[in-house]
Amino acid sequence: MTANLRETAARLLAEGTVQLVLGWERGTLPLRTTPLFAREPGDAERLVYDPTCDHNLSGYLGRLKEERVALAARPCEARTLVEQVRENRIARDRVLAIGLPCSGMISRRALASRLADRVIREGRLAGDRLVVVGDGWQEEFPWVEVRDPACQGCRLPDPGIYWVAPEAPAPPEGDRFARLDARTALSPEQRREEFRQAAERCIACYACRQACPMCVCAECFADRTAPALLGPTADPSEAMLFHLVRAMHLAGRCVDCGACARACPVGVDLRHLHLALEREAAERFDHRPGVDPEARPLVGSFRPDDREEFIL
Amino acid sequence: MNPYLPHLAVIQEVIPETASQDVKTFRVAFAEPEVRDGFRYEPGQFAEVSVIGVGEAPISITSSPTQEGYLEFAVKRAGVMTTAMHHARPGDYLGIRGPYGNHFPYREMEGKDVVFIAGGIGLAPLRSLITFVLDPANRDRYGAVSIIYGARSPGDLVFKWELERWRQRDDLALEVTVDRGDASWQGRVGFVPQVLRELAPRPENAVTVTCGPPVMIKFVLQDLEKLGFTPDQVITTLEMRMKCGIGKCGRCNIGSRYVCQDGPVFSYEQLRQMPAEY
Amino acid sequence: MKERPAMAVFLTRDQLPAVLAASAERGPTWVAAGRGEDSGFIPYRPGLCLDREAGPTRRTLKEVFFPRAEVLFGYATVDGVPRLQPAEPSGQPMVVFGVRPCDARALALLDPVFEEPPHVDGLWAGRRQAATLVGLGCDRPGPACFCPAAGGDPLGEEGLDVLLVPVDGGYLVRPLTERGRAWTEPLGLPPARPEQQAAAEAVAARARERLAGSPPVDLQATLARGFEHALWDRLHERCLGCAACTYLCPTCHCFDVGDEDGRRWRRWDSCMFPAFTLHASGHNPRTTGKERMRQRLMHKFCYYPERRGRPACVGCGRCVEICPANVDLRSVLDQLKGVRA
Repeated sequence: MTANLRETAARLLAEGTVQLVLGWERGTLPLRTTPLFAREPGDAERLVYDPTCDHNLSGYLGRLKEERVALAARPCEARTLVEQVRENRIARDRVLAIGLPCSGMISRRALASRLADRVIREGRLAGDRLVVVGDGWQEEFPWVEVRDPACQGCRLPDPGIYWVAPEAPAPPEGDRFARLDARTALSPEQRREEFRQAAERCIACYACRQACPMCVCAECFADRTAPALLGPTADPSEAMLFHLVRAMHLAGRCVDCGACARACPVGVDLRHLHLALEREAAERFDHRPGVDPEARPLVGSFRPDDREEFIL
Repeated sequence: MNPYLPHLAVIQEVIPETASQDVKTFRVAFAEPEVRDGFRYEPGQFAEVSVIGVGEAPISITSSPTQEGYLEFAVKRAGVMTTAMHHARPGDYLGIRGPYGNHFPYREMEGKDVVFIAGGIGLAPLRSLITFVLDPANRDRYGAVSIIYGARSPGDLVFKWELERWRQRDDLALEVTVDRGDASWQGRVGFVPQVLRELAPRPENAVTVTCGPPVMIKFVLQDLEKLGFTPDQVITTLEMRMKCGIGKCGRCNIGSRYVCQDGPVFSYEQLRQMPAEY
Repeated sequence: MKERPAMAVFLTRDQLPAVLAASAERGPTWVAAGRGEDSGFIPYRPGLCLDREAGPTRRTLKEVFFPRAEVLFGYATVDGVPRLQPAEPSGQPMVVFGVRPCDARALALLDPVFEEPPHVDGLWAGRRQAATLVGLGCDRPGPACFCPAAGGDPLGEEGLDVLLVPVDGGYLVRPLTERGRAWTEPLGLPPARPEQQAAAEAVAARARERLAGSPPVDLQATLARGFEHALWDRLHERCLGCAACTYLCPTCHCFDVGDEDGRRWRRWDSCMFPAFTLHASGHNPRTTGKERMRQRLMHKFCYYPERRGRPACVGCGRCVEICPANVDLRSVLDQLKGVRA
């Protein structure tokens, strides 16, 4: 897969079809990758693609100056691109999406937990197996055992935005909302307490917002200074407000790529908030983000048969 | 030691400056006599002014140390804090801590001609030095003093009452100009740099002190250079977003200099050595 | 290698919980504890996980002395007159246990910022004066560690009152200051035997060997000439513009000030945010990620060294570890070495 990607990227750059290919290259720590902005055909050799490529690259598209770019596109990039095109943030013909098959990403959090937080000195993928080496120990197991839990329910309907379709067709769609059902066992009080604890950990670095390819406001409400909407205290209510407003702003737009949770340096994962809103949108309004570039925006379209029993 | 704790001060007078009242001058006196007597400052320094419960902002002291018993701040309504300050009335309390920053090099300027060039609210920090230089106790130490002051419109001129007093003096050349006049305006119309070129002050044994909007400063610096002023003969004062005012909060640096401590007064000579990030 | 005074004593691993419990009885005791993303400096409670295999905790020591948000003073209006109530640190002696040498050095780098006369920050200074820092040397530096590049050492002593060197079966305990001796002496520990001393030296040698790939970096002169270098145009390309690197940096000290709930607060702020330098007029001297990343790096490796003689980085590697885009400060520094005006 990596070989094909490199070849396509090098060709596109050599031909001048695009001025930049956005992909991943090996990172500086074990099992980490980092975004690659390939501008010369020679750069394409550095491209890699495997389950450690966990940054959503589409988030960078909005800041690029290049006229035409190619995007290494897992389903997450493709779905994000659909939303960006739908919101007229990116001209569709400016981006050539090179489709990549995906069976999920390794979750660094799941991996750390499986290894009881032992320090990883080396890690590599050998086919479906993950090999990790520490100080005086080595373990090997199928990488899917540490797959991001959110990837497990991800089955992507073809977003139809690829320039080159993925080699392998997407597997049949699973139950995206199964993760939420597991939470119904929690009482509202328990959920609130869980949320409060997450907010207490939050250090307001906004890595979640910055990593989110759909957090695109020119000025985030959290950054407003005149007047400041968030207070100067470290009270958890500030972080709760931030994360709730962020969730509302992403309703019908979040493609559940998980960039927010992966970016968090202190282990806050609030993807269930976004997923819950995605389910509301799906069940009430038959709205599915990341599929149809022509779709009307969730908040901004009205149909006579919309359910509106919540409007008093 | 809690260097963030302000002293309370009472507003004595609020003077609307501009026609739109977007600039007001506040005359304040410290509530406690020992603070009032102990507060010593130099022309060009600033203070952190608080509207308690709203916030704090760095504001240059526009009064002069030669004026005892009170401080004056000319404040343009821009953000939340300055808007709240504009709502304040005589008798209301403010918090004040300082003075902070360096000051105009008034000792080094002795024996020289002084040319003040200001635009809009930029006259506020210069006024402290102008008043200081014009004070009877100091006036003999300086040569010819001239002031070129401009604003967008007659209504945007600040310190009109002060301008009138300055105009009466025969030891001072005052030129006031506006970008656009109106029906009642009898004075000059034209940009500050145009007036500067026309008056063409001589650089020999002179120093200029300038403050105003960035675009004015840019052209003033070019014109001063053409007139033969060297960068060390040009003094300016900067503003940056600040919080603590004492070199800790980390936001007002230009290169390795903190505007709150190493500034706000810089010579053009110094500015040229610093990154153009202000 | 410094000559070791003979007063080093030895603490066995199984004595450690009792030592901590005793310390917590005498006064507030903070402990470097917790795993992975959860780790940080936590008020002592029995059963805390103290196992640190390698590298520093995720959250930094600066939080103990410079919390994410703290009150500067309280205010209330009585009969129309504001009354201000300044915050004061309690001054109660406290112990911080398990401090990595990099984190202790970070405090030493922050001291001049907060304590430089005439504007001594009593909130910082008060806590610093009340604290005994008990260090835990790094026998196995983590994968992101690069302290020698920043002038540090895995067993560095700067800023510490006591240094514990982990060896087989326990810790060689080296009191380094008067305060450190006051903490160590009541423990009544036996002097370290020569072979334990030798083991500690071997641990140091192994740790240094592991970090041999990070020689000291001095970029001040290079960067001072390179403000406009074209490298800055690309360096920030992958940076997402979040504040994870600055909030989890042990030497970043920027803060914002605001009023709420009858109190004036200061709260961490970051040069990586656009609003950081936004004037009320709308003017902003640092409008893009390029200027903001440049500011962060210049501050640490050019401006701070210019003022204080050494970089404002201790090589703890947290920014390397947590950057969502894997922008690795070590490679950034390598690239910056190539900057020529």
